[in-house]
Amino acid sequence: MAKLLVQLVLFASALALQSRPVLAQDAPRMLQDDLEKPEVVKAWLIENSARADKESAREFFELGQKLKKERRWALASKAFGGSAIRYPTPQALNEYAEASIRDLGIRLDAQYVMPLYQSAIAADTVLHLMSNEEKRATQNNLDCLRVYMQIKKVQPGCRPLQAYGLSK
Amino acid sequence: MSDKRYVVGGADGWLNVKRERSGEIIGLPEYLQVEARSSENDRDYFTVLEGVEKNKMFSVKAGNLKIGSPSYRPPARLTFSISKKKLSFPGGEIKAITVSRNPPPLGTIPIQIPDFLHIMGAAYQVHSLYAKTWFHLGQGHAVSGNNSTDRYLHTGLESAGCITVDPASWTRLYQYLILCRGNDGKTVGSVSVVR
Repeated sequence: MAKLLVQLVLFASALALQSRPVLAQDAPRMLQDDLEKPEVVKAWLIENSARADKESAREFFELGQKLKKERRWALASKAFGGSAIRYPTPQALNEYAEASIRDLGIRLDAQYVMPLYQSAIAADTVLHLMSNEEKRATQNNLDCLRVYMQIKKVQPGCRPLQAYGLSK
Repeated sequence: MSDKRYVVGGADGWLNVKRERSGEIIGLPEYLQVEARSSENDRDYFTVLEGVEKNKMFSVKAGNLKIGSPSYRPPARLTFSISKKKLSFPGGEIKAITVSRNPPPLGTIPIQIPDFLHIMGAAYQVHSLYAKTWFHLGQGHAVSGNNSTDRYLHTGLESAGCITVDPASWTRLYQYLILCRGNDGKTVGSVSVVR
């Protein structure tokens, strides 16, 4: 029954996405690979923030949250990525990074993840959407991942490494 | 009564059927080959002959299984260039992407007959009625999209390692692929992934 309910909620989310106004199709979008380029994310936001399809981005984000609860990481990664290409908020980029790690595990090189956290920080310099706690957490994610990449030291409480299954 | 029939899909290319015994409702893709076993109380009872539900038994309201082969095409032979972001098929060359952190492996990958409805595709139905049809890439069954090793050929704007086709071109590709058949009862052909 619970599974059926989850499927119904997912279906409702998908239906909401389906019913987006046709005009939203003309809204600017980022390329998925460009989400890993902080300077491109920042420039895109400065130029396109006002015209971004924020409503679709929000719906993709909510779908991602539901999929995250179900631990369906590949789809969650797609959904958060779908949100971020429409409106790259720091929150969407952070979630996209974590879902991607959980999806791929150690097969995902950290070199692809660090830029996503950097993009989240860059996005916030334009949008100012992160709380101080979120800013600290994102910076910590970046710092501990950098330490791991440089000297292979696993710092306790490093969220990306927890997602990798490398830290408690 | 025992004869070959073919699934008649709805507007989105899928037909809802009832799984025998459990009563679970699932979708089967159009043109799927089945064997009709009996008819009773305005329902047809049948066994699926290909795809992930092969040898499973279902029933459906009468009139949804067509007699006469839908003129299948030979197996599809597609080429996907990661760097050019293009997918080639006999209908032309269309835009397609993957994600650089997890691209599909180079080489030839089987393309399976569609497995189940993919709700994530609903976001793109405004571009293509067939957006919820994804073609699993590789051998074996997908794990309901819950595994990063599951790769699909599908439409959309985001990839987690799939081959993601520009929504504007999906209907054209779908209408070609859905009628292609390999000779194994599982695939519609293959895609060659190149740099």
